[in-house]
Amino acid sequence: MKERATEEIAIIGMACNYPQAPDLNTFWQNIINKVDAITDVPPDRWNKDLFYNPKTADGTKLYSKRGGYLGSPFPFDPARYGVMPLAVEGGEPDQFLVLKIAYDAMADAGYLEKTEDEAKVEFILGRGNYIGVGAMSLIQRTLVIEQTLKIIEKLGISLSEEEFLELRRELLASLPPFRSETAPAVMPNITASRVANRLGFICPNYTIDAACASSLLAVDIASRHLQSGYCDMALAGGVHIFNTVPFLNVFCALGSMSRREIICPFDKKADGLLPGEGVGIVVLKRMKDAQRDGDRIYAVIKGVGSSSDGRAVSVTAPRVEGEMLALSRAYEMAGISPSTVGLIEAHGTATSVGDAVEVEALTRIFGTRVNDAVRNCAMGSVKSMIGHTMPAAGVAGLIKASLAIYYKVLPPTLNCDEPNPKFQLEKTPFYINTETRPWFHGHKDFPRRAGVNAFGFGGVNAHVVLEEYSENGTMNIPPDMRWDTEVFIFCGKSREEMLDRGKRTVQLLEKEPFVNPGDLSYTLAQDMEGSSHRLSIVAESAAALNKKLDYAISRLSDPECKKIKDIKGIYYFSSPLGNYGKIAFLFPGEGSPYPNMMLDLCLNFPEVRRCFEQINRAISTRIKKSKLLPTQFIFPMPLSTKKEFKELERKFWKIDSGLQSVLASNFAMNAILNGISIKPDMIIGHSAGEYVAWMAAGILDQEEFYKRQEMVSNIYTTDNNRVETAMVAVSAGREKIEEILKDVRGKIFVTNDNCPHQVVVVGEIKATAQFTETLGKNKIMHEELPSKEAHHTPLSADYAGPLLRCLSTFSISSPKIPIYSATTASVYPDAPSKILDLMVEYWLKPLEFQKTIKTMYNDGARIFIEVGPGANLTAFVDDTLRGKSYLAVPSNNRRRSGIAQLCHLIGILAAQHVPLSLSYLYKYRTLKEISPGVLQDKQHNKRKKSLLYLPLGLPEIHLQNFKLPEEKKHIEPDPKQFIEEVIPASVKTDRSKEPEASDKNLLSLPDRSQIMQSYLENMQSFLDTQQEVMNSYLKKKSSLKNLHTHKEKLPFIGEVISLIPQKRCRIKRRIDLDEDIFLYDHPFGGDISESNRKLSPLVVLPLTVNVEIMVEAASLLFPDKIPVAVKDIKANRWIAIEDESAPILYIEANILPASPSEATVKIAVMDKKEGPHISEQVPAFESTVVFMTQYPSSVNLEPVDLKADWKSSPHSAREVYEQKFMPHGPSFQVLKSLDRCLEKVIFAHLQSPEENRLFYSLKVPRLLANPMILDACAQLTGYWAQQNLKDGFITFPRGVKNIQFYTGPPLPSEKLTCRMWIKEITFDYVTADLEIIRNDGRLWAKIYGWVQKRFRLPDELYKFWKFPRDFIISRQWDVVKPELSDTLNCFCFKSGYYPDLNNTIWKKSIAYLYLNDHERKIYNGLPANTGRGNEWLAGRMAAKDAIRVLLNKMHGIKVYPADIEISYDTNGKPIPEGDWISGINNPLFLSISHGDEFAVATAALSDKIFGQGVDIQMIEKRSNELEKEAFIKDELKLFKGFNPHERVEWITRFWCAKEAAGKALGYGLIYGPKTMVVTEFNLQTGVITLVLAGKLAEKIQDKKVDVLTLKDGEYIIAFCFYRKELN
Amino acid sequence: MAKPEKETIFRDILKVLDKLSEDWEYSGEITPDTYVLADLELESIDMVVLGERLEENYKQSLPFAEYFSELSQRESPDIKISELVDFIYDNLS
Repeated sequence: MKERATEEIAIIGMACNYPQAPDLNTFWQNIINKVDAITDVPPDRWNKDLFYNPKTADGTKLYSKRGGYLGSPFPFDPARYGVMPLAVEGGEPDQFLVLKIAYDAMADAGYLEKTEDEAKVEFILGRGNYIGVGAMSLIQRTLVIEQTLKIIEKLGISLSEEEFLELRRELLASLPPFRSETAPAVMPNITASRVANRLGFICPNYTIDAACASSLLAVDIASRHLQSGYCDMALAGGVHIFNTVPFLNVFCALGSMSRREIICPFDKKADGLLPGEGVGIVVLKRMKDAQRDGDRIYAVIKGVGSSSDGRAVSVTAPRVEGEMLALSRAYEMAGISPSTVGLIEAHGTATSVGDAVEVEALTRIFGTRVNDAVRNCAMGSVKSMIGHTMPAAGVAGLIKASLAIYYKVLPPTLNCDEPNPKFQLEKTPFYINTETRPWFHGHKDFPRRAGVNAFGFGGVNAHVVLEEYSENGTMNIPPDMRWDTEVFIFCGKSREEMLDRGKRTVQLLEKEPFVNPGDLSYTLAQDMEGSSHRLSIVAESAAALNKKLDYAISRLSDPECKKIKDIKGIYYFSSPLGNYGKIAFLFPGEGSPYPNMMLDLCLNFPEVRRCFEQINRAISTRIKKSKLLPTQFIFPMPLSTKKEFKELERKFWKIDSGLQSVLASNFAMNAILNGISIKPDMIIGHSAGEYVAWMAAGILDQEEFYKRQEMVSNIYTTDNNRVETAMVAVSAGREKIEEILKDVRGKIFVTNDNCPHQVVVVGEIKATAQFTETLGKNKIMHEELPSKEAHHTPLSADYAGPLLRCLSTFSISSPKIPIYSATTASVYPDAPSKILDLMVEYWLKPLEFQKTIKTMYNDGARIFIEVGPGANLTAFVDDTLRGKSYLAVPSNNRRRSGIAQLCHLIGILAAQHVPLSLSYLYKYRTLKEISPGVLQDKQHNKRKKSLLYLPLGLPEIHLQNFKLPEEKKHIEPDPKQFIEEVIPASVKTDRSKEPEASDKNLLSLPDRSQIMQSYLENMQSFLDTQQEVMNSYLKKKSSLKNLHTHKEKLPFIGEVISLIPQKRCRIKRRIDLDEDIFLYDHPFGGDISESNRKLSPLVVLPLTVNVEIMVEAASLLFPDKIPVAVKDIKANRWIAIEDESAPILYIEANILPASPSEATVKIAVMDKKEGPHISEQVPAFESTVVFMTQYPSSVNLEPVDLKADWKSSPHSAREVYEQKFMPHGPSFQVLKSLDRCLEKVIFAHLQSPEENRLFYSLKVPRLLANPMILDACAQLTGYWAQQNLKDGFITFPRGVKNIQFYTGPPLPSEKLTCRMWIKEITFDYVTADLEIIRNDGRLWAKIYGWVQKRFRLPDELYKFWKFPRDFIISRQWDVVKPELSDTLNCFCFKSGYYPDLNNTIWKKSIAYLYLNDHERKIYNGLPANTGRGNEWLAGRMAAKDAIRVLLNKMHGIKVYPADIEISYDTNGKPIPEGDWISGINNPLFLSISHGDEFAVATAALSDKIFGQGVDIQMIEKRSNELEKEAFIKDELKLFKGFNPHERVEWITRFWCAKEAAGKALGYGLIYGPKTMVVTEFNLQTGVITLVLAGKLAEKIQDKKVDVLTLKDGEYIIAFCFYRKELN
Repeated sequence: MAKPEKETIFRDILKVLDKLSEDWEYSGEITPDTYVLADLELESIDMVVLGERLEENYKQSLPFAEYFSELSQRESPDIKISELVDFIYDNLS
């Protein structure tokens, strides 16, 4: 390459607005946080219902609807940018967006205020000549409207002249205004001119269009103009916001849009691009001017190259040669070799041809990978995050690469899981970088460099070469770094003051749950000085903090609580160790470093980063091409193969690279501890960590050592005569191991005595093998370590000489901080000569780490901080000092992020009152102190006034108020409705003549009304009826008009936590069974108790009420608008209302930034302790509510098949409720009659309930969605499913695609019609469309996609659920001999769990049908997901069913299960009770036994017995201990001669017999199993005879009892009756 | 002594863990699904001690050595408490 001749250009300012990134900082934060800004197209850009069809074949529709879209409307303050407000609306919105970003860019460069008028500044903007919003509306206003009117005329709708004028007026009014002020705003070049005009530039301004290469070409031209002196400063950039249907159609037609709707550059699955929007501008100056003027320089443009593809086959296909030319021109201009480039921001459109050609061109320019060299050039594309922003794409990449260089970070690219193997990247220098990683650079001869590609449609190419501008090697940390964890320290001069601070924080978090945790941490840290009480909490979010703080406060409110030391990060110590204990720093060695350790710390702390840079530099001078820089194996490239990764990981165990990783990481942590001002009182190193200890103690000079550290490792690595060794870590104490080693032949030694439970041994291969074999035999845990070194043993003796010679050339000083030697287990000597000896000895003698830690403890060390990667040494200390008072804490922990462990370290040290300074934690972040009472809302509102909101989508011509005169209008009420309502079944035959009313096309309205007209003419006799309906419609209309001025209270707006109109609101609403009495009418099951009428089945918050809640919440955001649709309703989890703890709902409504007339609403159940988790988990319910100023006017009604054979429903509406098809109570019983049914259609009449009965105290609720009427959808669909499906006919609403409202909500008592069409039946779901129509014929709501989930319940469950008194769930177990049950009236029932009910609301629902109030409390207190709850419930079910069957058989009494109460006497015997007991004449005996998730119960009603007992046991081997506990010797002798199998069975039988007998006798086993002795048993009948002994014999007269045992499958079941006649 | 039920073993483990952790606490609910390393932050040495203490508790030796070496072969050598319960349950005689 020749010496560069051209001048360098500096990038001194940047600004941008890309999807989800309104400014430069957010753009960068989004990039490094891997934010995927691709979404569905916002509705205001184009209507996806109309233009999107994923299966489109003819190219008329778009097959992809996703992309990176800017928020719209775009807020713009004309006054601020010196623009007349009148000139803005109706123009091209990108002009104003660009103006704003140009201002931002100038401000970023520091020249917004400084630039004088007539400045020699140029502005070149890449902008496509695509049709923009302004131009389009001009076309519509001038051409389309006239054409449309013409079409209307042609259709034969005769309108008067005034009507035509009115129509035109209204069509025009639907478009943005066009005035003389607007005129320039529709001309594309003005986009650049406005900027020059407002900012006073005198050099040329213009827009250029080179498609996707536009903005880099702009940079190219600007650079040349700067170099030539034509201008002194230049702004260059690009804009693209017009992803309109016609534009995108081009990409669909060419097949370059992704059908998978994912943009994944370079990935195997890549199938095309997704569009993006945005604007980006950079400010450029000649390098020497920028340096002279002290400008901040992001990056230096070394070279720009551009080219065309030349003559090629196709004008649209990219060409390798063309791209190569642009690249080579750029590198030629730069005068650098491409092999020095470490980052390529690729064009990366994710089209298969585009990516392949790009990789090919790059590879040819960069060269293939040299043999063993690592791939060293990261590659990615910001398109993976924001989509392809077309003319603004090049500058997006340029900004990204410049910031990457400026912040020295390799930014990630998204969606590449497996690079396309066809690209053969492994043969290139490139790798796809999928993670945010520090950009380490080891080369002294050149700085960091990056290349940016932009290749335009049509064969125009550009490449920019960037270089780092390193003034003095400073590290720039982006200002808004987000931390995954924060530490919060609550301080006080007294415990009360500390707690008070905590409580005030809880209040703040309740009010502002989305407070920035960093700000809060920073604010609290300001008050640490002089505090005597400290509570530290480490948390990942404000919600997590709230939970932990709440917990800590409640613990500490008890004055007895002296300390909290909670793993989860809650620390408080009333007698802190920091007050007296010494601090020890522990530096770990080999085995501690791990891949990617401290990566996040590198990104946040320049001091950490520097330690890794330092080690790179220390060795890079001598590094061979094939060798790795330390950071290349410490931070392995992403998507490394497993093999590659393993190979890299091995480097951590090699003496040279291992030492490098130890040095870098230990010093990195040391730098942080230094930053927070923690000073050690003593130091110890472990193995290679010893080197760090020497330097930290001042024995060796770090700089000197770094310079020559390779000399030290070379001593080991160059020795070829080394014996091969292996290393084993053994989990046992030193003594035991020495004992074993005695018998091992060969050279083998203890190398580390780490702690009582870990010793490391090194030996020759053979000896080690023998050793591990012995360990295996002795069952001693051990693990072979990957190390091949033999440090700290005589095997290293050969190195002693060279090491001594080497180290003696270093300058050695006396330690400045006491340092402990693990060789001598005591403090190092002072004299350098003695130190030197010890330094050599260190490598020959075993590490007595355990002993040394004890010495340090004895010398006063109480706080042991492991300063380095991982937590190995901390574990050694913990194992060594068990039971003593001390603290061992790691500064890094492989299980947590670097930041998270740092927070834990600081939290616990602060709580232990270790002197430290926290300012370092916040040094590189821009955080603000939270002052109480700050209201961001105010500011927001104030600024809003002068803002204009510019829509970015194409205007749509539409009518708002214009109505056809009555006689020309499509008749309302809808014709089908009329037929349905008015025509009796007797005229059905005449219908054959009618055309089918099936067309959905609005344009045929006149047609339809004509048909109707003629139809009605033929039906003279019904005209009167029609008149009547019409009249009632007109009357009603006036009363409905003012619906939205109602002043009644919205019942579900509980406590408004916060409300920012048109933005966001958060609401808390407690669901309260005392107030929300409508809930009793929505139970999960029918009547369940006779004795307690108030006992209700499980009550569930209906989907429709959730819809109402979401609509109400959203409506707060739009006080002037009305809800017109609720869409994408999802029930993720049902909210059950348990009697005890009423749930508190947390509702959050957020306006959709992309569509400001819509709000997303989520409902979560608030956990009192955890606070709202809406952002952290899937909410229970969610939807999007759409608002408009008025209801939409037109709609296509579902066609009605008039010829079909309509039938009436087999059940009346009353029967639907009475026969429990629907369990609803009065306020939800809105079905009044089911009139017409077809196979998949039901038409029903409804009546809205009296609303004053819905809530206890709120008598006039204002319902926005009338959930009771809406519930008819669920009821009709549910009823239909029960009638028509063979299985899975129990259904519950799961979601709704869209509910569209056309008039206000139905009023109390209003009558309506609901028409339901079943649309889809799948295995899991039934989906219906519904229409709810007022009696006056107007539509209230049209419901699309009402989805009910199908449940397949076992038949007995279904029956029981409907009529719990008449059915049982448990199964009779017939093993009880019939003769027994007859004589003793005993029934045995088995009840188990239905596995498919687990974790569903069904499980609880069934449980609630069985349990009374008291039992529910017990059940809810049992752990829900363990067997215990299930077994307990199964026991209740079996017992209650046994009793119920018995009562029914013997006395003909039917009892609800919940009316049977089971209590226990003091001996644990179950006693059934209930009102029914008066109806029986014999004593009732109950016995229950639990198996594994099932239970059996026997109930007997008999005067012939004193008691009965049942027991069930699994046949399995019992331990010897159990045998000894349970049986006396004589009993065990009975098994003589049994084979092992039989023995197991009969031991189980004996045991089971004793249990059953114990229960029958009423004492259980409280006197021990040996008080019942088996004397004989019958192998055939299974009868076992027990003789009572001991205490039991004292209590019971009869000394003998028989137990029947039976084998049933894997179980033994035993019955025992304590009979009276035996007496 | 009868062979303890899994429920009992679970409680035994909790007791042993409680002692082992000395003054460290764990404010979360320990369930059978709790991970011994990731959630309770035990180190591998603690696992060895945990094994020892459980053996003491049951007064019999359990094949922890094999069990832990099996574990170390896994992708992530962590275990849920329920796995430990099963291990003990299966190996207690």
